[in-house]
Formats: sequence, structure tokens, C-alpha cells
Amino acid sequence: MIKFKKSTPNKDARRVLVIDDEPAFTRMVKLNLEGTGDYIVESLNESRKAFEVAKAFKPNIILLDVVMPEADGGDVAQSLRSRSLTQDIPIIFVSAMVSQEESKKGFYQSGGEHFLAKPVDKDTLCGAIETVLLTLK
Amino acid sequence: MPSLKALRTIDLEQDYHAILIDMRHDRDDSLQSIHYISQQQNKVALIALCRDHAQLQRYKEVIHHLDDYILADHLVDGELPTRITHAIRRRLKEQELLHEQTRLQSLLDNIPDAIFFKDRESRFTKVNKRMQTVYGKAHPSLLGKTDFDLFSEEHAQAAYNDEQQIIRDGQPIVGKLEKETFEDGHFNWVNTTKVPLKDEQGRIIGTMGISRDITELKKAQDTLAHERSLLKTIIEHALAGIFVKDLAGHYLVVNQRHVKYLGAQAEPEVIGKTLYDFFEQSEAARISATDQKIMQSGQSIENLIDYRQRPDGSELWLLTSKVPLRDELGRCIGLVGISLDMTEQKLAERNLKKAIKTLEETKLQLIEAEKLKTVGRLAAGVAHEVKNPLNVVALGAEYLEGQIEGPEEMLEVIQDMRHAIQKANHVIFELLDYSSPHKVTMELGNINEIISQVLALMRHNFNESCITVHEDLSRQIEPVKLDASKMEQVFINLFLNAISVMKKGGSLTVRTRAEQIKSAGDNVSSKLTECFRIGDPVILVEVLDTGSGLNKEAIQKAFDPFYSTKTTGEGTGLGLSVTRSIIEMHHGVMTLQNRTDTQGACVRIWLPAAS
Repeated sequence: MIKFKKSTPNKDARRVLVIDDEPAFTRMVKLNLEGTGDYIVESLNESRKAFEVAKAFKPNIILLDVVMPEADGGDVAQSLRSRSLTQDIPIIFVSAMVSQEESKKGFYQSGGEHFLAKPVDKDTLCGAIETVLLTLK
Repeated sequence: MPSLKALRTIDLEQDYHAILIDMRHDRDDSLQSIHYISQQQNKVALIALCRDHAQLQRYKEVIHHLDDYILADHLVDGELPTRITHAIRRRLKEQELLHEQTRLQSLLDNIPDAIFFKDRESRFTKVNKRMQTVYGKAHPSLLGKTDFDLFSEEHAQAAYNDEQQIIRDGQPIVGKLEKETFEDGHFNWVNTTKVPLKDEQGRIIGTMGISRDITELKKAQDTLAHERSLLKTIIEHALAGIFVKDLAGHYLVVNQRHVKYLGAQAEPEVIGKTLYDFFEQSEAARISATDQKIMQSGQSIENLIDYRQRPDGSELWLLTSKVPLRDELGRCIGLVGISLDMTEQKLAERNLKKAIKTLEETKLQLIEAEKLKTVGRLAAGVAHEVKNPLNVVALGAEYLEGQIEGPEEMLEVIQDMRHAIQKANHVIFELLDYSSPHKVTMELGNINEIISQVLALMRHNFNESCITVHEDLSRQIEPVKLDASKMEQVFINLFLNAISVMKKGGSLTVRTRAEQIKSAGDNVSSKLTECFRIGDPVILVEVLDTGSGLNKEAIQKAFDPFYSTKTTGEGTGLGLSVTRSIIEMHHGVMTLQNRTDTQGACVRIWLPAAS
């Protein structure tokens, strides 16, 4: 008989929007982050709907995949930053197309942007979100 | 003696020293007797006894045949025997003189040399037959003539001056080589001796001389000298070293070029010397052996490429041909050799080979680089494609681990999954590592240290396979320019190979030592001479195992990419190929052979010492 831990989100849980064309990935991120109780996560697999979803969900932070079939991470970021309602939402790019060194670091900054290298684990994800949100305060 | 008739019957010379003819009675046969005796030309003295002067006068016509006459009316007592004795002496003297004169004339007439006598004005006073025949064609008699009548003025004046000099100081001119030029332009070469001619009182009254015609000899000499000079010019200016040796190996002839090949300065330093004066014992013995073989067998050798080391250490390559030297009877009396300096060609050939090799390597490297680029691109794509699903699995497993409290087995399963995912991640990183470009950094390093480090690193592997390791590393080796990480890879590959062939245990020997590339010996192979020059200092590393060794096919193909004797899945077949590439990148040579001392394989690596 499998026993599951119970977890409910905290009152001051952060809202995280995860945009990735791979539903399994967004689901896993959602499950892991929400499992901590510190985050409320919205998944999006169709990148062209990013603005609509962001407008409605009002995330504190967005995790954005770089390589996607519809609109890639760069386009999505530009579109969000060009509109007043979403322009201040911090974005962390998540990518598999990174060098070996970058990949080993996990979370890093490059050209003023924040990056997470796949494969990523829960602690790195949480650490990155907290770091970015802390710098904004 | 009673009568002429009786006179004719006796041998006068045999029996008498003198004949006294009594003329006092005016007998008829007295005159006839005198005639007869004088005609005999004998040594018998002829004396006439007359009454007085008046009677003697009547025999005037024969008086010159007499050696003496005695006048009876003047004869003193006891005078007769003395007169007869004197007449006998005179007779003998005259006879001797006559003989002498005959002999001299005979000599003069028969000698093939021209003999002449001249007065103080250089006029001929006597010449022999030869002189008259050769020089007197235009002159029935040469007597009274001078050289100016026979020769051109150029020669006549010179001869005249010589003769006048002899007359002045009395000194002979002996064996002078003269060119006699004639008015018609032709000339003779003569060897002439002239001496002063003296009278009884020792006063110089002229000159006498003898000339031998040596025109033919001179022509032969000139031809010989010309040929000799021609030969000498050819030998001296030949672009090859030329030499002649006797049976004992002494240099008889050597030209300047060969003098240089021997490391000497000038010909006199070489003539009479042997190879042992210019080369080390073993080298001299080697060349001498070849020479002896040629002289004993009579067989020449052609175009033998021979390596020598000059005294200054630089290399010298010679293309040598040698033929036996024979005397007129065909016996071998030495040898003649000709050597062309091939060093420039040899060096050019070597440089060309090197250039071709470099080109080949560059080509291979380009192919390899292109391959790596493709692999790199593929790897990056694959990495991306694999990373995403792997991340999903990883995050899923992590989530489950966080959510599940039990049972324990379930948690263990999840743990195993996470470990597997980590391993998979590691593989992806390795793939990215392999495909990313590599830099080679060459620094001075000690090969022994690298070997020791790798052995330490792999101690566990050796222990596991029950392999004993023998380190035989020379302390006297020079540093090598190397890329430490690449060199480590070389020894890891070699040791892994050794372990794989000694699964049931064995012994591994690693040996290093300093060497010099030699022209002869066990470290000679075409590969080595392509890569190194003779005399180059090198480090030799040997890795010897006690495995089963290699068959012919394996020895030939061991360095081919993807060739492997291991079962599928155990090896990619890239190990030795990569290993050799690395050695070649270090300008070294690597060979693989079976051991000769025992069963097993032996890898030899020569690396240039960085001295």
C-alpha cells in the first residue's frame, strides 16, 4: 500500500508559470514545486498563448523553455516584455542547448538573463526561483 | 834468310820479332822482300842494313816501309842490338796505334748517335757517318760547315752560344735536351753532350759532341704526359670522390673530393694511409671487408649506398662503385673506387617523406576533425533530445520520492531509478566532452612520472586481474615534450590492453631507457629512419605483457581503427589507433611485436628527447 505525503499550498505561495512544449515536463515541474507547498504552478504547452495565460494567471515568475516548435523562448520573452501588463514579470530560461560548463552549473546568468540548464532537479529549480525573486525585492 | 822464296814459307809473326835485310850487295830480291813484308801488316820490325847514305838513296821508294835503317859505315860497336830492339818497340807501338785508330773509327762509323768535332769557330772538323747521313743530305761534306748551314737560326745560335761558352770556361754541357729546328720547319728532339776539345798541351782548340735523337721517345713521353694530365684533370675536377687502393688498402691515388669525404684537408694526408686512419675500428673493418671481397673475387660492386659519419658528426651518404684494379697480366693489384655524395638528395628525400607524412597526417586530422564536428553536432542534438525526457523522468522520480513515505522497497526502487538517471546524464556529458574540440598543450615532462601515475591509478585493475607489475624506469632519461593528459591516455590504453590479454594473471613490465638512433643494430627500421636522424637522442619505452601474443593478422592490423581482437562489446577497436595517433602527434614512433624472450606482446615507443 503506497502512502502519500499530504501538502497544501502556503498562504504566501508564489505563482509560477511554466511554459514548455513538453507536457510531461511541465507536469513534473508543477508536481515538484507544488509538492513543497511554496508554489502555485500553472503549466502552458502552447507557447503562443503565453501572454493570454500570463495576463489571466498573473505569475510572480515565469519558467520559459528556449527551444519550442511554435514560438521559441526568445520570441515569447520579447512579446511578454513588450506589454505593460506582463513586462515586469521575471523570466528564467530553461534550456537543454547549453554548454557542458553551463550545464554543470545548473543555474547561471548570461547577458543579463537567468538560465536553468536541463536536466534540472527540484532543489535547483527552487533555488533559482528564490534567487531571482529575492533580487527583485 | 837466303831468299824471298824461303821468306814466303814462314810465319813471320810467329817466329820473328824483327827482320834485318842486308842491302849492301844490292840483290834484286831485297826490294821485293821489303814489299812483301810491309804488305803483311805484321808486327815484325823491318830494318835495312846499307853500306852508306848513297846506297840508301837508291832505295828511296821503299824507305817509308822501314822501321829503321842502319848504315854500315857509321855503325858503332854494340849499336846493332840496341837499334833492333828500338825498331821492334816502334813497330809494336805503331801497330797498337793502328788498332786503336781502327777501333775508334769503327765506333764512330757504327754508333747510331751523331758525333762531331768542331774548331773554335764552331766549324765541323770531323763528323761520323751517322752525322753525315742525317744532317748532310744537302751537303756532300759537312767539314767546314757550321750549325747555321744545317739548322734554323734559332737553334744554330743557341748551339753556337753553348759551344763558345765551353771554349771560354772549359765546362762540358752534359745531357742537354735540345729541339733542333730546321729551315723547312720540321724539328727533332736530341739529347746532346758537348765537351771541350784539347790539344796535347791542354789548350782548348774546339769542341766535340754527341747527339742522340730522342724524338720518338719525346713524342711518347709527351703523349703519356698529355694523357696523364688529362686523367689528372678529370680525376681532380670530377664531381665524385675517386680513389685507388693497393691490396693492403693503402690509398695510392685520391682526389680532393674524396680527401674531404675522409675528413682530411689535402692529398698528402691520405696517400699511403688506410681506412683505419680515418674511421673508427668497426667502421673501417666493415668497409675493408667489402674491399677485400672485391679484390679476392674480382667482382666489382656498383651503386652501393653507404652511410658514413663525418668527423664533425654530420652525416654523409655516398653512392659508391668499386672495381678491381689489375696489372698487365690480369692479376688483381688493388681497387679503383668512385663515390658520389648523395647527402643532399638523401636529406631532400627525407624532408620530402616528412612533408608527405605531414600532409597525410594533416589530411587524416582534417578528416578526423570533420568527423568530430559531425559527431559533435549529432551529440549535441542527441543530448538535447535525451535531456528533456530524462529530465521528465528525473523530476518524476524526485517527486515520487518526495511524496511517498513507504513501503521501503518502493523508495529503494525510486532511488535506483534516480541513480540510473544520473548515470545516463553522465553519459550525455561524456558525449559532449568527446565531441567538443580539444587543445593540445605540449610541455616538457618526464615520461617516467606519467607512467608511474598511470600505474598507481590502475593498481586496482592490476590487482583484480592478478597481474604483477615490474617498473624498470631509467633515471638517466631526458625530458620529453609532451601533452600530459594525452600521454596518460596512451598508457591507460596500453595497460588496459595488457590487462585484457592477461585475464588469468600474468606480468607486465614497463621499461624506459635513453638511446641513440644507430645506423646498425636492433633499433633500425625504416619507420625509425623516416622519423629520426641517425645519432638523434631518443627515449625508448617498452610495455611487455605475458599474454598469448599476437598472430600475423593482428600484428598487421592492430593499429587500424575499429580493429579489435576483443569480443563484441568489450572494445571499440579505437584504443591502439588513437594511441598511435597520440605518439605520432609527439613525433614519435610506435611498434607492436611479439616478444622474443617469452610469450607475449611487446609495444615499443620511441620519443624524441628534448635535449
